[in-house]
Amino acid sequence: MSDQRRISAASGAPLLRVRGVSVTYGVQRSIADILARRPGGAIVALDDVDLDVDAGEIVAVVGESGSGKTTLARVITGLIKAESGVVEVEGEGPNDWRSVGMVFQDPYETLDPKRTLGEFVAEGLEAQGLPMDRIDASLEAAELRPASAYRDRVPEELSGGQRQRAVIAGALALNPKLVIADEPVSMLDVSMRAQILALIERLRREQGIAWLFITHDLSLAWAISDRVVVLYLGAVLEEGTAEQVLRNPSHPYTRALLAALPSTDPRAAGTHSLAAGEIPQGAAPSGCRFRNRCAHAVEACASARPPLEAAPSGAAGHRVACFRAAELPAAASVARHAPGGATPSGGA
Amino acid sequence: MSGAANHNDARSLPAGANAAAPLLEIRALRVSFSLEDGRRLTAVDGINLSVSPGEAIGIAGESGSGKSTAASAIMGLLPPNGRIDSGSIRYRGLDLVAEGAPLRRTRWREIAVVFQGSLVALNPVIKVRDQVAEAIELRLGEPANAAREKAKRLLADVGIPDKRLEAYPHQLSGGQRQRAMLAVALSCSPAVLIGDEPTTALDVIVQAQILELLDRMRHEYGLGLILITHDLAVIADMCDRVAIMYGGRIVESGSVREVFTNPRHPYTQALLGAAPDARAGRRTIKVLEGQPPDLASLPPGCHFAPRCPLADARCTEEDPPTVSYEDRVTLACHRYEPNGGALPAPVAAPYPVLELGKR
Repeated sequence: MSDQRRISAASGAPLLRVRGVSVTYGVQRSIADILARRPGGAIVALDDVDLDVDAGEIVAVVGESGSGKTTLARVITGLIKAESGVVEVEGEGPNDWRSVGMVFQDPYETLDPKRTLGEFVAEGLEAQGLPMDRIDASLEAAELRPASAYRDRVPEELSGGQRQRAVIAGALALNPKLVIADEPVSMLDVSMRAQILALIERLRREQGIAWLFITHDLSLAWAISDRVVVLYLGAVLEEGTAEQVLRNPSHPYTRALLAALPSTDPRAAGTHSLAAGEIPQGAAPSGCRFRNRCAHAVEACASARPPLEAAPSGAAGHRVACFRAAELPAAASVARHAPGGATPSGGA
Repeated sequence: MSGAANHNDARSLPAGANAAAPLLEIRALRVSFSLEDGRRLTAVDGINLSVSPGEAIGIAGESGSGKSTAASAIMGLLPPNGRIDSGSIRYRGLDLVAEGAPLRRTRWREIAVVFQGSLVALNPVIKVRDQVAEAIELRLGEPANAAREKAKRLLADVGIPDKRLEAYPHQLSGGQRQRAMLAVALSCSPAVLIGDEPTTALDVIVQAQILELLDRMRHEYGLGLILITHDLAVIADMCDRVAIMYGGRIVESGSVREVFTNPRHPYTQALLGAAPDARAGRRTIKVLEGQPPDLASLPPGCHFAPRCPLADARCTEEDPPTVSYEDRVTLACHRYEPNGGALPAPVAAPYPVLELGKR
């Protein structure tokens, strides 16, 4: 844990406090593995993760599939129990939370296809012993207006974006201070995404709701969040404000993610795969988890796990887990080139 | 690349095709589906498209735009309740619509496709090398040994290491499966490759690797590439030209540079502005209100009119004609006058702009 975090904790505990959380999964062995008598191992899904979300703050956790980001969401929402570590909201453990909402990628993980939206919201209110007069206000706060037009509808009668609004309405009914949103817009069309982003931003501004926004999409993280945490094979490789991490990235992995991102802006066009291979499906390598894909890896990177330390930018709160961060050229000089087809040709 | 160089020389065209005719040309294509209640739904409503050897065309749109139906129609893969009502799909002058089903096999040889979910497209119980070899044997009639050798070369070319040749699809990573799928698609040396959201399920770094590979293959093999995706940034990266679809129609098309720098159709403007962009450092997004169109009950006139900030009475009554400007851009929007064919200045549609990240 960093000094800065201790200081901020001393001046007032964060709303969400995650400390040293680790989760290990047993590996499923295939029949071939069993026949070959290959032992089943364990995969570390999360390894000693620290994370804070302050009141009214939007924090994005970005990572590829296999990074552990969904495991983290499930630990924080209490769906998975961590082997070690602490998860607290307002200083309380998961059993005492009244103020945490959840939004998943697929609205049908939350919505019952046979129940109307009114019944869905009422169910949550009843479970928490809250008054039923909050149903309409919750639907309207999620921009399902007028509530009378939506209360008696079932999920099938809604568009994808409206279904996700219904899930958000269910969360809002419980007066949350924090909503954990795991890829909340990745199933939606781009015009629907913009509407939901606008809603998330408005709920933060008007009701002070904090969001932990989990996504594989760096551009969403950039747009919506105050702070960004980059997760890779269960560990935090870089964290800081959205500006620090995504405009001045320090870790070679963060740089590779950004360089690989296509853009419609001609000034930023051209993807470049700076990192080789793919995120390993088995155990993480020794030393730095990213070293076997990293263009900058040296021998030292194999010997020990680099700790999460102050980034070379020197900016408060910007931390990176890379032995070579200080030696690497500034992010702005990271080479960008376009593959052959990227140069737009005038011919139509 | 020697393999690539003789690729097109060795091609024998199907009967009725003409090497001098355009590679692939789609004219006034209409595709409809029958619904359970007896109604018909028009999913593709009179689109024109063409692709030349070595050229990459992007087709972009959201749900209900008709982009995937257009791809299925070109591939001859429409579901049983779908049919081509009118129009033509000409491969080297040969009309695939008029010729009908017998050409389906030829189509796989000349026009190949890579889908989003390679796990469903690959046979789970056959090793990857055998899948590629089988495709070569079946479709090109090559002897088994030669097919296996060719499969090995192809898989090496798409970046599958030798030690993975005998792997089953589930033993490969997502990126490797998409590479294997590309090898299957390229196995019969097609002239046209259609990618239907080929990288949508992949993580961003693997997506960049596969896009680089697709781009290399297009240039080496002189492929005509049709890339269908909801992601305009992928099209910006990969394509020469782009067609933007909405409600079954192409609302704007032209060179990627022209359309992305000076978007004219209000829907193109919305689509380009709707996604934030970390690479370019843009947080402002344009908010397009309303829902994607329901193809079963499209409004009269311009299909986009109900969501368009520039729409007036004419837009809700008359279909906008598709006008070609200076052979560079086509537009279907009443806001732009035919102008004698001179490319008009873009008219900015006043969408609400959301400035995210302003604390």
